[in-house]
Amino acid sequence: MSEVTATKPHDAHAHQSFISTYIFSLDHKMIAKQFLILGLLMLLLGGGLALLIRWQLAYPEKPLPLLGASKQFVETGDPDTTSSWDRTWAEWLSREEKDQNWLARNVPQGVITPAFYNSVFTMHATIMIFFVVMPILVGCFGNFLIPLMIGTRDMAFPTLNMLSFWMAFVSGIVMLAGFFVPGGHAAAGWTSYTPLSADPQWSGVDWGQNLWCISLIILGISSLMGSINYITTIINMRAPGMTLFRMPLAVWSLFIVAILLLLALPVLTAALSMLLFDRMAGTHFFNPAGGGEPLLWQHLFWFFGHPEVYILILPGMGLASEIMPVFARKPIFGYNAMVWAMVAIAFLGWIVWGHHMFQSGMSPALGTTFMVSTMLIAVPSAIKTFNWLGTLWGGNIRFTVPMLHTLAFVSMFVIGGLSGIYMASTPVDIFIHDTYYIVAHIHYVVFGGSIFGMFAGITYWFPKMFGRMMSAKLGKIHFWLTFIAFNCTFFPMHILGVGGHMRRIYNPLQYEFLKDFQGMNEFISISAFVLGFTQLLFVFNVIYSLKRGKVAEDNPWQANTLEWTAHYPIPHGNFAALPAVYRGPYEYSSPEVEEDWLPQTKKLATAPASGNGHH
Amino acid sequence: MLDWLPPNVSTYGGEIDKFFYVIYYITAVVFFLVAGAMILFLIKYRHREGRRATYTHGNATLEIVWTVATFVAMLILALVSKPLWGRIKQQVPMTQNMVTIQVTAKQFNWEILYPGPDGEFDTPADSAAGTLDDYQIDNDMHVPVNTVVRLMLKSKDVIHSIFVPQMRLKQDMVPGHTITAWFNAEKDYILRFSLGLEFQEALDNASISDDFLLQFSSIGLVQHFKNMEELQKEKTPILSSNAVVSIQEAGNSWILNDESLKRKYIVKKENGALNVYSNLYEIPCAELCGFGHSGMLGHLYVHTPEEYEAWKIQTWPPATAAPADSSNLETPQQ
Repeated sequence: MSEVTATKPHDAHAHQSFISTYIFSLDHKMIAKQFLILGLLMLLLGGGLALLIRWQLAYPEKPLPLLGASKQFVETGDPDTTSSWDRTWAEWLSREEKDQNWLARNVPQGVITPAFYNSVFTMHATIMIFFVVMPILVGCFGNFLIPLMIGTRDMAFPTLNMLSFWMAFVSGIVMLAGFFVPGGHAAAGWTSYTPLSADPQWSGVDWGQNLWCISLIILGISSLMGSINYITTIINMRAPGMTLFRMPLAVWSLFIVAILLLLALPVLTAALSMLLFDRMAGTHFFNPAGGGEPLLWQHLFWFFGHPEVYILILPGMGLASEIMPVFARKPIFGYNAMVWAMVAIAFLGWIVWGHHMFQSGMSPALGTTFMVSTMLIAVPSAIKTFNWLGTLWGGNIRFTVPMLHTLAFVSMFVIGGLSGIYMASTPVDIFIHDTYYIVAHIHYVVFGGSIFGMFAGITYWFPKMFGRMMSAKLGKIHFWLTFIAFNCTFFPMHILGVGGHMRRIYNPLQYEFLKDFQGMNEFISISAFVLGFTQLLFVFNVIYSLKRGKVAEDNPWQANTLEWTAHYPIPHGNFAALPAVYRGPYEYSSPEVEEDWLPQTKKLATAPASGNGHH
Repeated sequence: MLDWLPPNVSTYGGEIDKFFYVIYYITAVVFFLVAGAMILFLIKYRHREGRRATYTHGNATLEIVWTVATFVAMLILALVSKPLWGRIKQQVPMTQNMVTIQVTAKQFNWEILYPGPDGEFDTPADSAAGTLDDYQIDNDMHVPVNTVVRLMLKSKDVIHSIFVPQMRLKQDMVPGHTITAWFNAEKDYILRFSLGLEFQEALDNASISDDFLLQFSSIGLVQHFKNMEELQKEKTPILSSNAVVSIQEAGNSWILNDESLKRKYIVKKENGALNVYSNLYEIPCAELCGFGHSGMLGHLYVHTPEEYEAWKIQTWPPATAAPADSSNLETPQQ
C-alpha cells in the first residue's frame, strides 16, 4: 500500500559483514531464523525438563539413569566401593560446602529433591511458553511471513526488529542464569502465585524468582517491540491490491496476536514489577500481613494469562488455515468467518480470566459470570473447527508432512477444546481444578495445538527459509512417532485427573487414593521418553536437510501466496519489484484456470479480480 | 473413563458427577462426529490423479446453523451449571446440628480446630463470650455422617487448597481471608478393597471355621498394607505388620482396630469375598504451597453419630476447662 521502503532489493546491501548479516541483522528473514534457532534450542531444554518431571513421577525418588548413584548407595547410604561414580557422589556429598556443587544440591545421588522438582516444572512451563512457542510461532513466523506474505520489503522498523530479538536473547540468558543462583530457580509454578512467590521465606527461593521476574520484564519489552512492528507493517505496508480481506489467514492471526501482545504484556510487566517490589523493596502489594491482597496477583496474572493462551494458539490456527487449503487444493471454507472468529476470540479472551480462579476464593457470583463468557468463547473455536472440516470436504488431499501436522493440529485442538468445557462448568471444575485433567487440557492445546502448528509451519516454509526440502521420509516417521507418543503421554492424564491426581505433586505414592494410578504414571512417562527422543529425529532432519536436502523449487507446493514468488536466496528487500495482488490467497481449483492453483499475483486477461473471500 | 472418578460420599458430589457425565457424553458425541467426519473426508477426498477439488468458499446457511447451535448449547450448559454452583459455593445450608470446624493451613499441615463443648470459637481472653475450650488437632478431621459440616478456611502463610476427592470438595485457602465451605457426608464406611480372590478357596471350604477366616482376614489386611508400604517405600505406614490389632466380632462382620494408628476397618463376608470397609478419607493440598507441598496430607474420619459422640467425649476438653490454663488448647485430655 504505502511506499515506506522504496529501496530496491540489492541497494546498499551488496556487501555486508558477517556481523551485520548473521548477528545484528536488520533483515526480517534472518531475525526469523534467529528466533527459530533460539526456540528450537529452548525446546530441547524445556523438553529435557519435562523428562525429569516424568522420571520423578514414574519412579519417585529413584536415582536418575546415568547420573544417579547405585541403588545400594541410595537405599542404604553406603556407597558401592567398586563403583567410581558412587565414590564420586560420596566425595561430593561429604564435602563441607556441598551446597556449592550444583548436582549435589539439586540431585543428590541422582535423586531429584522436592525443591528442585518445583523449579523443574516451573521452568518447564516458563521455557515452553515464553521461550519456545512465542519465539517460534510469533517471533519466527511473524517475522518471516508478514513482509513476504503481504508483499513488502521488510518490517516497518528493522532496527526495532533486531532489538526485539536481542532483547529476547538477553531475557533468555537471564532466565537460564536463574538455575545457577543460590536458592535455586523460581519454584512457585509458571503462574507464580503470591504470597509463595512474593517472599523468600515461604519457598527458600531468592534470586531465582527475582531473575524470573526480570527476565520476563525484558521479554515483555521484546514482545512489545515485535508487536508494534507487526501491527504497523500490516496496516501500512501491504502490496498494491492486498486488501485486509485478501490477506492470508496466517497474517490475520499474527496481526491479532500482535494486538493481544501489545495489550496483554504490559499487564504482566506491571504485575511482575509489583512482585519484584514486594520481594526487593519491602512493599506489600500481595502480602496480607502488610495489607496486601494475594488474589490481586491472580487477577493481574490471568488478565494477561488468558489472552496469552490465545497468543499461543492463534498463530497455530493461522498456520493450519494457511497450509490446509494448499494441500486440500481447495479454498478455505468460510474465510470471513475464520477472520471474525479470531477477532471474536481476541475480544472474548479478555473477559474469561476468572475461569482460572473459580476455586481461588474469588466471589462465587463472579465465577458464574466467567463461566458464561468462557462457554461463549467455545463458539468461535467451534466455528474454526467446522470450517477446517469444510475445507477438507470435497478436497483433493495430499498427505505431505506439513499437511499431516496440520491435520494433527486440528484433531488435537478438538480434544483440547472439548476438554476445556469440563472446567468451564463451575461445579465440575471443583473436582478437576488443579488436577492432571488441567495438565492434559493445556498440553492438548499447547502441544497438540501450538507445537503441531509449529512443526507444520517449519516443514512447510523450510524450502523458502533455507532453499532446500526437508526429508519427507524422516518427516513422516517423526510425525507418526510424535503423534502416537503424544497421545499416549497426554491422553491418560485426563484419566489421572478424573481420579483426582493433583498436579505439581512431587511423589504420588504419598497418597493412598493415588496408588492405583502408578502403573499409568509409568506408562505416561515411558511414552514421554519416546516423545522426547523422537524430537531428536526432527533436529536431525533439520540439520541433514540444511546440508543434503533436495534443492527446492521456488514454489514446491504450488501455493498461491506471495512468499512463493520470491526466489531463494531471498535478498534483503525481498522482491525485485513489489508484487501486485489481484485476488484472495486461497484460489485453489478455480474454474478460471486450468491448473489447480491461481497465485495472488497472477493477472488474468479476462476476468476481473475474483474470490477475495466475500460471499 | 467412567470408572475413574473416586467413589462419591457427599450429598452434592453426586450432582457434580452427573454434570461431569452429561458433559462427558456431549463431548464424546461431538468428538466422534468431528473425528469421524474428518477421517471420512481424508479417505474419500484423498489425492488421486486427474481429480479436481470442489471449488467453494463456504456455505452461509451451514455456517449460521453451526454457530447458532454451538452458541445455544454452550449457553444452556452455562445456565444449568449455575444453580448447583450456587448451592455448593454460595449457600451454606444452616441446620440445627451443623458442625463448624475451623481449618487453618500452614506449610505443611492442616490445623483442625473445634469450638469445644461451648460451641464457640474462643474469642480473645478478655472477652466474656465463650470459654477457652477449643480443641485443636493437626491433620485429623472427625465429622459425623449425614451432618452439614461448615468449614471456616484460613491460611497462615501461602495459598493452600483443601481437597477431599470423595467429597468433591475443593477450596483454596488464602492468607488474609476466611472462606466458608461445606460438605455433608452421606456415607461413613465405604468399600476400600476386597480380599476376595485370595480367600475364595478358603471361603468355599465349609470345614474352615469363621474363627480361622477372622485370623486370615487380619493377616490378609496386614499383607495388603505391607505390599502397599513397599510401594510407598514405608513413608506412611498405614498398618504396620507388628501393629496391635484388636478384633471384634459383630454379626457377619468383624471390626479391626489399630489403636496406634487410629485406623478402624470393618471386614464383611459378602458374596464369597471378604470386603474391607473404612471411614478414612485423605485430605491432600491441591495448590502448590512450597517444597513440602507434596505430602501435605490430612485425614478425614466420617463417623457414625455414636462414634462421633464417643470421639468427642474421649478427646475434647471438658466444658468447664479453666480459662487460664492455655495448655488445654493443645493437649487433648483423656
